[in-house]
Amino acid sequence: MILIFSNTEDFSTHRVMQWLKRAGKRVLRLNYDEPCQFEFDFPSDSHGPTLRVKSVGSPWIDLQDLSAVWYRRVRRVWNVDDETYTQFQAIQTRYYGHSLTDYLEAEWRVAYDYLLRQASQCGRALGHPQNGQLNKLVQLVAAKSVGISIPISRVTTDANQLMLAEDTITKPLSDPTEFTVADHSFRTYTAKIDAHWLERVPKVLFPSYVQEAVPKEVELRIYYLDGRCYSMAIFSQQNEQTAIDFRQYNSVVPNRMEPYQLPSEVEEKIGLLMGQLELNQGALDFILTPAGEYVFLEVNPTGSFGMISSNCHFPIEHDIAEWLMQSGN
Amino acid sequence: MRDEVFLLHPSCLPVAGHAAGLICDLQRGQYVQVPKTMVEVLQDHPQPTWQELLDDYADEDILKAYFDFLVAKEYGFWTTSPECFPTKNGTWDHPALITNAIIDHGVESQHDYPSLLRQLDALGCEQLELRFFTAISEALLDDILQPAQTTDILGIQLLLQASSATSAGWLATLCEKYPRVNSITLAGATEDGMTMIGRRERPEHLLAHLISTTQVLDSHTHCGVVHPDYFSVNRTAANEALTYNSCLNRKLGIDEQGYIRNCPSMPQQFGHHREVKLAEAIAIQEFQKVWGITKDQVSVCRDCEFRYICTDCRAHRVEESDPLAKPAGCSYDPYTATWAP
Repeated sequence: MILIFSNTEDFSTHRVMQWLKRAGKRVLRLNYDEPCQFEFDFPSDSHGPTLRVKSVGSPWIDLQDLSAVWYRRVRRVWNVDDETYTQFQAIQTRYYGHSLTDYLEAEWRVAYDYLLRQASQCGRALGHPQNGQLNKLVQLVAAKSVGISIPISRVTTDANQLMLAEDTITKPLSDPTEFTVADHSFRTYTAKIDAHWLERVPKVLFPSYVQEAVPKEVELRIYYLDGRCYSMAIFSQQNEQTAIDFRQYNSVVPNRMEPYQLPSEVEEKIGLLMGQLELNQGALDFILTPAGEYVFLEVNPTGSFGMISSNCHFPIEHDIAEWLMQSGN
Repeated sequence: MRDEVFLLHPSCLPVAGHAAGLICDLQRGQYVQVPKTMVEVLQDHPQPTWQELLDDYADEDILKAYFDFLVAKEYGFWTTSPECFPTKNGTWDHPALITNAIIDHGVESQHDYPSLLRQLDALGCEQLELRFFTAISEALLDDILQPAQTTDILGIQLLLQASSATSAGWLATLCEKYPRVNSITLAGATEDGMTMIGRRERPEHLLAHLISTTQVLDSHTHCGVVHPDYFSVNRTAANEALTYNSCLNRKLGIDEQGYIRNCPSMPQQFGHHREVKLAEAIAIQEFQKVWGITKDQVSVCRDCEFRYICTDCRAHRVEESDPLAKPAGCSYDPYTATWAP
C-alpha cells in the first residue's frame, strides 16, 4: 500500500496514481481538503502504537501495511467541512471575542502531525513530513556552502539599507500568498524597488528581504527527484511583464518554457544542496545570467512540477510512480 | 568566442506539405503557414551558424527575412550553448491503456453502464463521450453519471437531443450535480450557439461548454469531419500524432448495439460488451493495429502540412477499400494548399 498526502485539485497526483494503477498497486490518497478519519491505538503492553486511517469512500488502512509514502501536498491549516467545527464557529461568532476554532485546529494539528511523522516510518518516503516550508535564509547559506552562487541578499529593518545595488528587488521571506482588498486581488510577487517608494516608507521597517536583481538570460525551474534533475528554461526576459517574476503570467503570449540540460557539475552541486537540506524532492529556482553563471534563488520542498513535465515532455509522474514502487531501504 | 547557432524551440514544429509549409506553435496553440522553403531550410540545418546558412543559400535577403521572422515570433533563438537546449522530444506515453472512449446510445440500446464504467475506470480511461441519439430520461442519466463520480474519469462529454426537457436551467443543474461533465452538445436545437454553464462561483475553467446546434446528429455517421476548428495544436496531441493515430490510439467505442469497436463507426467489431471483457477485446492484436497508423502513412495526408495537428478519421474514407485513404470528411487539398468551399 502506498500513501499519498495531497489535495483534491492536484492533477500531478492523479497522473502518478494512474501509473501506479496500471502497475496494479494499491494507493490511498489523503486530501487535506477532504474529511479523513483517524484511529491511533496505544496499548499498555510492549506493542507499539497502531495507526489506522481512511479517506472518504476508502477502506481503513493500517500504517503497518505501507510500503511507501509521498508527501506531495501537506498543509497545516484546517479547511474541511466538519460538523463540530461549524458548530464551534457559530458559538464563537455569537459569544466569544477570541478564537474557539483555533483550539479545534490545534487539536487536529497534533493528530495530523503524528500521522505525518509515523507514515515516514515505512522506510520509503518521498518528501518530508515537516519540511513543507523550509526557511529561505537557511537555504541561501546551504547553497553557498556547496559552492552554488547566490544573489547578494539582506534582511533589514532599516529603510536606508534597502537599496543593496543599483537594481534591487524585494520578495517575501515566507511562501508567496494572495489576498483580496476591495475586489482587487494582490499576489506577493517579486518586485523591483523604485527609488520613489523609499520616500514613503517608515525609517524603521518590518523585516524586509531584499536582493540584488540578477540579470537573466533565462530562468530555470528544476524538479529534483532523488538525484535526478528535470530542468526547464523559461524565456522570461523578452517580456516586460514577466522579466522580474515569471509568475506574472502573460496569458496572451506565454513565455517559452522548454527543456534545459544543466551542466553535470551544476547537477552535482544541486544534489549536495538537497542532501544538506535533507530533501529528496523539490522544485528549485535558478537564474542563468548572460555571463553564464547559475544563481540559486530558492527551493520549494513541495513545489509543483506539472508545468515542467507538460512543457518539456519529461516522464516525471512516471518516474515518481517507479520510485514509490521500488523497495525501501 | 564560439559562433552562435540557431535553435528552434522544441515546441515549434516545422512541417512541410506538398505546396506549403507550416510552423505549429504547440505551446501557444497557434500555427502559421510559411513558405515551404523556410521549413526545408530548418529541417536541413538543425543547428546552423549564420555562415553555414549563407554558404548553402545564395539569397541573403530571404534568409535574413526568414530568421528575423523566426526570432520575432519566438519560434527560435541564437545561442552559443546549444548543448544546454535539448531539441528532441520524448516519445508519447500514457499510463492509461484506454485514454478515451465513446459510448453510443440509440432507441434499442441495452448497455450495462455500471460494468462499462467500472471496466473503463480500471483501464485508466480519462475522457468519456456519451452520445444519446434518442431522447433519454433523467433517471437513466443519473444512473450513468452517479457511479462515474467515484471513478478516475476526468471529463465527460454529452450529446443530447434538444427537447422541451433539456432547458438551460436543467442542464446547468446537471453540470452542478456532476462536475465531471465538461461539455454538452444539444443536437436539433432551434439555433446555433455556445455558452458556459454550471455553478456560478466556480472558476471559468471548471464551467461546462453548452453547444447548441441546429444540425441533426442522430447516428455515428455524422462524425469524422476534418476542419481547422478541430485541429489539436498542443504538445501532447502532436507528440502522440508523430507516432500514433491521432483519433484511434487508445480509444474504445461501444456502438448502439453494444459491440466493442475502435470507435463506433469502425467496421470491425470485437465482441459484445455483455460477453467479452473490454480488457480482453483491446488485447487482440487486430484491435491495436489501427493505433499505429500515423498520418505519414495515409495517402494525400502524408503530403499535408497539417498532418500532425489533424484529428484524422479512419472510419469514413474517400476510398472505402483502402484503410490508408484520406478521410472523406476532409476538403483540404495539400497539392494546391486550398480548402474546397
